Amino acid sequence: MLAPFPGIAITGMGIVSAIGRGCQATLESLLECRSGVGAMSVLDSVHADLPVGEVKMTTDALAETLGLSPSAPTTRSALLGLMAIDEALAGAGLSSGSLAEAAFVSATTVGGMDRSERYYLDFLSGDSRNDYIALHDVGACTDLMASRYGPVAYAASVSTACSSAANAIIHGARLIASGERRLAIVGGTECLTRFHLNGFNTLLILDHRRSRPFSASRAGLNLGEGAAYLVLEDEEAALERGATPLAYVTGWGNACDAFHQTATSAEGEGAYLAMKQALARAGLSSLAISYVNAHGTGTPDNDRSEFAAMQRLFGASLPPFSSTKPFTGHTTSASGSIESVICLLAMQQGFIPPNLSEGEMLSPLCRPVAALQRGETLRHVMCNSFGFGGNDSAIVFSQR
Amino acid sequence: MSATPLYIRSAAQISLQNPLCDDWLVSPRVVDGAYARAVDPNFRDHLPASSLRRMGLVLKRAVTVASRVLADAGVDRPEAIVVGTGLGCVESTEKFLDALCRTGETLLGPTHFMQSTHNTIASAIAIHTACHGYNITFSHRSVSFDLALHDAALWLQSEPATHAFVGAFDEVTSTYHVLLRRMGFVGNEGQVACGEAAAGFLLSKDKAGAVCRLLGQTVCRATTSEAAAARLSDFLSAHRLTAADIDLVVSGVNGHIPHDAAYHHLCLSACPDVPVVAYKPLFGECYSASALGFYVACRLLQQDVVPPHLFASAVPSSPLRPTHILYLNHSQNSDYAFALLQRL
Repeated sequence: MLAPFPGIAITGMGIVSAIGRGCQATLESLLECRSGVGAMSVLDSVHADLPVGEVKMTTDALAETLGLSPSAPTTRSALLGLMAIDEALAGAGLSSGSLAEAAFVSATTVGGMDRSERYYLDFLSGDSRNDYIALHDVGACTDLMASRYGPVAYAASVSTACSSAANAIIHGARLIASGERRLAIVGGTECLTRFHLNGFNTLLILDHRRSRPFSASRAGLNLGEGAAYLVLEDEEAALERGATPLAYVTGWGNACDAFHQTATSAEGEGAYLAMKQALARAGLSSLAISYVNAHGTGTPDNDRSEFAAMQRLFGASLPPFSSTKPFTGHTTSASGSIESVICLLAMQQGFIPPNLSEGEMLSPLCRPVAALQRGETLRHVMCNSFGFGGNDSAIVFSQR
Repeated sequence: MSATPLYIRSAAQISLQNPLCDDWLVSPRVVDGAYARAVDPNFRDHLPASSLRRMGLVLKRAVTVASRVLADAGVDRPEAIVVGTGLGCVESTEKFLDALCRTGETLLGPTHFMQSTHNTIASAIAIHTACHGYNITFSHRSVSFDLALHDAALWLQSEPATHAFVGAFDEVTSTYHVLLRRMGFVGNEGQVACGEAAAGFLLSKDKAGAVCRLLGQTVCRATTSEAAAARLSDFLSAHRLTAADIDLVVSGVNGHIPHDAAYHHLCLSACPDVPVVAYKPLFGECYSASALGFYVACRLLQQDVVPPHLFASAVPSSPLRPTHILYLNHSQNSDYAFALLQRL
């Protein structure tokens, strides 16, 4: 059997995405079924006809809001991340300088690509913009963010494409479960870049309309940007310092589809194994899950194989499920933590966010939550997050 | 909580030294100049033709190293794949980025983008070995490997599994070498060459045929050298070892004085009289170099010999047969990694 582990409490959370800055704004958008996916206005791309989920602030405005000098070298991903971390720490009652024994585990894939794609030719010719060279890599993004909060005991960066943030949460949970750390700030951040917008565009998986996860007419995803972070704490330590657990991380699974770098297996082997492991780790039967926040990108491949995997795991008792990507866009490396925060808001407030896809679904058995459901008691929810490379992860959040 | 003993069952490397072997113990290649690419094996001997065509260089190296590690351990398939990489698939990323910046957004193809994410490496190994197990990639400058090793060890301790593949892979293109120079990471006066690294290990609960035992390992952040020394001291005490038990230090010194000072301080505070070997003069510097340091430590314990050309300190008068090796690594005087390895 699996080794016993202490309760992993969530004592703070922060979020920024196309549907709002902060938990309250995010909650309002979800309850009002207000999508943040729309016309591109911040990213400067020739593909302006593609709908995206943008945080409608310029990078300079983000820096100013955070009290940083616009002339100090930063990256958009790091600034979005700071916005979410500030909120998570405040919610947990933790101040800068109180993290000396904490772990900081952060995920991104684009890192400083927003600057690199602007200044790359400068990098090569070699006179200016050198500061941004050092901000390009994934680790630099984590270091830049960590520097705002004083010393930490451990810093790690995870990069597994679109499941990155979920895996950052899993790594942080493992640090606490092992007893090695009692406090961990975990999550992910990703800004929109022309680099990955064009990359996804060359793969022909961007929809020119708002994405329709699990729909028969789905034609791809919309990219989004944002960040979300959780404060994970050993339950005992949290209670000792008087913090109030919002919920608990009780299960997690990570498996590899091992099928193709960018395509998914028809039967969703990786997704199935990840969800199954998450249930096993939480010690729950599939009947205990009251809601699944699906990865549900809206691409033909993902949704077909994810639904197949859910059917395989849950059988006839498939719990209510939806993808919230039509709200936020696919926030890639941040999606795992953004959707985790959405799950936690749903648990706190007792609602299930709708899928925002209308019309015929991919099969008659596939019935994602069509309209906002309120007055629900969500004791255990599952959050799926899958990525390129078949990196599939699932997390179970529980309320006592 | 008593931890299950962990062993290194097998190890393999592709680097500035001859690949997939240990020629460096006896007749090391001398690296000239400020930058060198790794010495690649003939990939045709190791990979199917379809992979040769499809994969970028770092992927070929990773899959080749992983295949060798598994073959040497007599294991078909790892139960987990845990990878570190500082920069990921640089060549593919550069090709897509260069095309984006030079020709704009309308003439791009998908191939290089598909191989641009950092986890392409761990994914390629998973596809090659049909491994559906735990799969994760850490990317944090010079402790990328160490974070991967740390996570793999924690994973093994918490799961009913026997072994995990752990590796670190960084390719350094000529373009990125220039950028790393400009950042001041390489190219400093007195510093070793900028190189490339691909190293992999089978971390296992099974002792059979093992190379050595991993007694303990940790990654931590420390803002001052005193704080780092305190972390090291805690680490040694946690494993009930003192300076007298350490026979050899494997150090990441690279000749750049501000970088090396952190190592000198750690050695002075924890084990001032213990001989030190330096691997970077042979293997070069890059974000995954520490995986080669770990590789060197494993082999020195297995081979039961420390060749004179490795010593950074005075060569001991009688041959050294280490029982305990302390491995030290740091990134930017801020993130530190320590490991204790024991001869079997």
